[in-house]
Amino acid sequence: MEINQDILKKYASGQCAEGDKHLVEKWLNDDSWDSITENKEVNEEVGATMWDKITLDVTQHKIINWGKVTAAAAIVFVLGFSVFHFSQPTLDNHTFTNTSVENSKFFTEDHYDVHLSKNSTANIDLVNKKLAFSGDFIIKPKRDFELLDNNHNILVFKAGKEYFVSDSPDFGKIVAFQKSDLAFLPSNMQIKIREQFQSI
Amino acid sequence: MKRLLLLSFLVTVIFSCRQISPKKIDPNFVLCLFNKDENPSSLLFAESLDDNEGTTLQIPLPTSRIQEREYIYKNGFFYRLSSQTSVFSKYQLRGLSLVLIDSIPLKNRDFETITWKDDSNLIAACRENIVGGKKQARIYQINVEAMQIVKENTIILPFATKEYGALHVGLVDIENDDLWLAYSYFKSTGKYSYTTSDTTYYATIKYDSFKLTNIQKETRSTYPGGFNIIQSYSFKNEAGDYYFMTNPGIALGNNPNLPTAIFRKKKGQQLVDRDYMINISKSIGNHAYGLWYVGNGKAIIRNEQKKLYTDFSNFHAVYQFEYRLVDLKSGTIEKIPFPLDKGTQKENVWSDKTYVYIAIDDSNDEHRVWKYNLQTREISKGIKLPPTTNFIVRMDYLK
Repeated sequence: MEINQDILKKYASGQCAEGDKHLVEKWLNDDSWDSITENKEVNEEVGATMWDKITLDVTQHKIINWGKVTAAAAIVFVLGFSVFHFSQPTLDNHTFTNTSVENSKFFTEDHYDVHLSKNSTANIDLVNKKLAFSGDFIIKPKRDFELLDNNHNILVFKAGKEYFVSDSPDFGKIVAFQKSDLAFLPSNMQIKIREQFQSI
Repeated sequence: MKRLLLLSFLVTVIFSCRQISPKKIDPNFVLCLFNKDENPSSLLFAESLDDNEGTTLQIPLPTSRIQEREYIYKNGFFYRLSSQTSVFSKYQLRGLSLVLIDSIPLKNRDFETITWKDDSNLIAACRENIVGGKKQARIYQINVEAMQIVKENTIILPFATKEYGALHVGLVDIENDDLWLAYSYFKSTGKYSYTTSDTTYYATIKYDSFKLTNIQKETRSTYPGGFNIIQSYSFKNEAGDYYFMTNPGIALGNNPNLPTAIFRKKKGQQLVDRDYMINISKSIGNHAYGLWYVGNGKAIIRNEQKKLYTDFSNFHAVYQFEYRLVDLKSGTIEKIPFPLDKGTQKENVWSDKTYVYIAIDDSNDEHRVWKYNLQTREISKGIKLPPTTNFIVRMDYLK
């Protein structure tokens, strides 16, 4: 079965059948370069045609009534702003606990996904902008936010990125590494982090 | 992340076709880039490192996972061991794609150190799980043309202690029928941290029978070599003499009271030359990681600056790394006045014996190959990488 948007949506909302869930997890964990090779070689004409089409469309619509555009833009802006303003889920305050000594645990929330390592807890309070935790977790924010950690340092989280957060004294202080930063830790440390979070 | 890949893939296709069409490139170099904002890593193929006039081609890799850079390039093919599936795969660049040619399953998930027996035969050393309390290394010889395992075996290495029980196999060399391994032992000191014991061991092993014939001990430095798919720590010179580096600094061995040093095993010798040691830490007052031969008895090292970092929270991110030229005969070490670089371990040095080319990520957020003229000692600028780059983590010569 192919991985498609429907399966991913079901997976994200926890409605996947066991078999599909396994497939999705296998796909997410696959670190080979094969997914590139599955895209057959791209005929350069395809790209050129796409570009020509875009250029053509742009040139065909060159005569513009700026008055209408401004009015339309204003309406879109007002509508867009109100939809954005009133539909934004309210900020929340959650506590996550993983008492397992063997497995990590995954949680999905309105404003972030969090992957808690074994024997860890985290209180993520977006209302008061505070983070209290012990252990380590990976967080994938869905919006930008800042949190004040146990040691009164401000940790900055940006939407769409992935962070490894740890209070281990091995790093010197509380860290919120972006995922790519982990590549520069000693290999033996990377292996230990990878044992807990396969997806890095 | 895979959706991001698709998007950036389409963007690359559209723009590459728009700007340079039809795009013909005969690349001499490939650079592996970690990109900003967690965008997928990419491979940038370039005809020249000298300037930006030559054609370049950039292709995205599937993800921004940290292991995307861990590949081996040899004679037109890329090889990669999956840490998830233990499958060793062979790829070739065709058009805009890395095409899977063949793959074989192995028992292990990580290569700790590799060398080439000849152009077709890869020797890889892995660390094995402990069986019956014995520390062991697993050796593979893989014929990469046939993609077959020619030989594989487990070697039990002595001198683990109750305290220092974890094995690090940091260097492998093969000469005639003798396999040579350099190793040390380390222990955990926290959830993630560890330290290496004070001793390096050199083991000589009959390659046909995998019988251990000799062990040599070295206590002047520790943590020989390292994961050489990530960074080089050894080379053979024109005469076939084997030079290597020990790395006790915090970024590798983490036994920083011992010095970083260069040692030598002469061609035809099974033992490391006791009378030869270049004490890098004593000369420059810092630890170094990475060793690259540039011809005429000279090698490049990449050193940290302990006054510029505090701990692991910022070690990789501060602009601290310097490059120095080591005279392997006299032991003199000369600093090259390049901008300071960031990123703990990188494979980013290449030489054509006239110039040394080094890819640097500097504090102006400029990502560029710099050149050092070995005769005139002048530095100059080479190819500039796209502003989307965060770290240039590899640079391989393709010919």
